[in-house]
Amino acid sequence: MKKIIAAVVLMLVATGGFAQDAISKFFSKYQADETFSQVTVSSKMFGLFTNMDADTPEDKEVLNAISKLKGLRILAKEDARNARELYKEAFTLIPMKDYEELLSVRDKDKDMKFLIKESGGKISELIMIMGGTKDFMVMTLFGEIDLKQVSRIGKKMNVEGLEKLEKMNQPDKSDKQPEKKN
Amino acid sequence: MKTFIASVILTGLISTSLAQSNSFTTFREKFSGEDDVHHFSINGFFARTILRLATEDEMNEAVKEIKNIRLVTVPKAAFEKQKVTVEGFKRELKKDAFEELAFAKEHKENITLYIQSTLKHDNRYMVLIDEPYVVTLVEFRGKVDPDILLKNGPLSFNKPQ
Repeated sequence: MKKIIAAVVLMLVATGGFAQDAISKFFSKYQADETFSQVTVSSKMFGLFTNMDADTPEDKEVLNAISKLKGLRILAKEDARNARELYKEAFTLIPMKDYEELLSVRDKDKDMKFLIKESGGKISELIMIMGGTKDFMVMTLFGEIDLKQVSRIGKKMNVEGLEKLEKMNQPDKSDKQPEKKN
Repeated sequence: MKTFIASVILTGLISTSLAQSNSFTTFREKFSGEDDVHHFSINGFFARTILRLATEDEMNEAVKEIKNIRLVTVPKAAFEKQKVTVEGFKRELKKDAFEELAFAKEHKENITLYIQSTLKHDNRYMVLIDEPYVVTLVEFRGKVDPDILLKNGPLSFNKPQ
């Protein structure tokens, strides 16, 4: 009986560890590779924002959204000849069945995909995968995520790419509104 | 005048040394006497003045409530000589109640930012910069805008120049 309990506990611990975030496998594979850059931001850092004073109600919303985040991880490679291959590989290492595609962007020189994980009606993880002709980046943001605030959070943290989500939040406020009604 | 300046600096250094964290003191003392180990401490007004001269306008605002800064650089050879590792020091930081805020790795340079919460608006921060041949440890105390830490800290590599 003890062995069964130990095995179950071990399995839970192991799966819990791997399920921490979607790019764990990617990190494990490439974290020792010096050609990759990586960034990890802990929940403690995001927690510091709870004590900050906001000048405007908008700022207050952003600070509130930031304080609910639990972590951020980025793995990136600049001047990478194999950026496109890495982009494709990312999708093989991420358990896609757990995620929904939120947005897909194809620019002339790069592809981007945003994936989300939802549980209990709340978004618990946002993944951004970017692959260009020379650069590759995969980012995961986890915690309680307010999609309306993500582009602003991206601006605050200098994370390139998250501004793409801004358009998704404000479809009616656009000045040009080229394809508003189908 | 020289005596006056010297006494001000001395006062600054004495009060600074009293405010050091255990981790910083341990680190500094471990390598004192080794070749190419450099250390300096500056307090309040001096620290802010130097930071304001060295940084841009936005950072000026962020550093206005920093109370003191200490820095020590240690060559990797000294680590080998003392038979210690950077990872071992990271464990010491955790024991000294420093919590990791962020970590960034780029071009063989590992930067880790820690915080030791003291009072609500008076934290102690530690930046550990681990490069191939040298390790730099910077400690500063006071209030720092986390917004600036995020913007100008480890994530800034991601932004095009």
